Amino acid sequence: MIYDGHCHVASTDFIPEAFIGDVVAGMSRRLAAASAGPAPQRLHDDYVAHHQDHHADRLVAEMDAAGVARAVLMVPDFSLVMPTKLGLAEMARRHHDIQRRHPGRFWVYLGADPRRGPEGADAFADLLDEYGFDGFKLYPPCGFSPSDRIVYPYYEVCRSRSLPVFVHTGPTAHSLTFTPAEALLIDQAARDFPDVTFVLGHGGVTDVEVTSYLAAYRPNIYLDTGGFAASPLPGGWPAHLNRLFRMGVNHKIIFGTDWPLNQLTGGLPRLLGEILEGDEVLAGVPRRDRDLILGGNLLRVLSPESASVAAPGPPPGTVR
Amino acid sequence: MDVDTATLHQELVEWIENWNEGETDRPVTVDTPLLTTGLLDSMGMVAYLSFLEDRSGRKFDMMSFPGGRSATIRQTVEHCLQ
Repeated sequence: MIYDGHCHVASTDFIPEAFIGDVVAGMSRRLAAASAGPAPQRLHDDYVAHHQDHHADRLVAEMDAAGVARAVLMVPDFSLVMPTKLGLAEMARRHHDIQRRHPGRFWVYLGADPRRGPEGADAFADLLDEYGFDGFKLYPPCGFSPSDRIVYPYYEVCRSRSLPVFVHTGPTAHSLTFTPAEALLIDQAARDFPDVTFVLGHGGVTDVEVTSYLAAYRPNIYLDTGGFAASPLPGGWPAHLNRLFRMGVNHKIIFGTDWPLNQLTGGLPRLLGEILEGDEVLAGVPRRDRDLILGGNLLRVLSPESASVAAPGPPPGTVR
Repeated sequence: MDVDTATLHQELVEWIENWNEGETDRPVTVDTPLLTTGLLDSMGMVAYLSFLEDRSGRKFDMMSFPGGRSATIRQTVEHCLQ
């Protein structure tokens, strides 16, 4: 079975307009430097048009075409730093509806800005329990360190339920703060909560020199590969992933795409095709390690209840 | 807008060549894969499709385009004009 450990619903209901504006502005700047591409407003309209998959139907179609059995849906909470169309409770309900619409296809990691304090932690716990969600999505670029004590009540919520914490690291929308997204900032929290699993979002892509030693030496830190195909990587992403998969931390790497990135270049079918059928990404990577990266490690970080819903199946590369 | 496919193909070949500013040894034809060969990256594809839409007067529906990584000029034009 292949599992995608990092996806989003490509919907303007969940992704703030300001976030989309930042992304489009970055694209416009790059294209303008080459004196090419559409006008910014047209680029914006096209980008918005690609984010109307409000029920994840297109994502499921791509998963089917790519041989991805299940995926994790991330629900980051931007609501204290950007205007959002829906509140956290409504986003949670909508993601639960998506789970019911596509039975057996999605786990959900719910976000929460920890600056809402203990009351926010209680509300977060209530939503986790009401919908049976599977993890915590933390977004430090909103302006807090993942080791700030304000986050600890939320980690306690996860610890008591054996839920993983997925922590964004590295760059993001330009109006957010990059400093708290440095991977090493997770170290204190990882030491203070040794029985909580922390997954460094994009940790297999950004600052790999740091993230790889965190994964190698901290028992409860894992790496996610989300965004690999949309990141500026010397030599291209297939070569980067192959180097990553030869660093001796394959027992800590969770495959994720960060869909809906890469829609313009073939989406999930193209990415999985290049990984499984290309001659570079998995070259020299033992079969056992491939299975861990493409699904096994995700099951290891999920709670027993969440992992149990994933039916056993053929190893990666045989489901397409 | 009436579209002369042969003329459009040639314009797109020239656009790809200009985008690469002569820095590729690979000959560009209407059947050359655009992404796997490195002729375009994702940003280049955005610019390319914008040019295709401008020249054809049609909207390119990326969501239903099956070409993916092996997309060629011929495939993108056929999809845009269908």
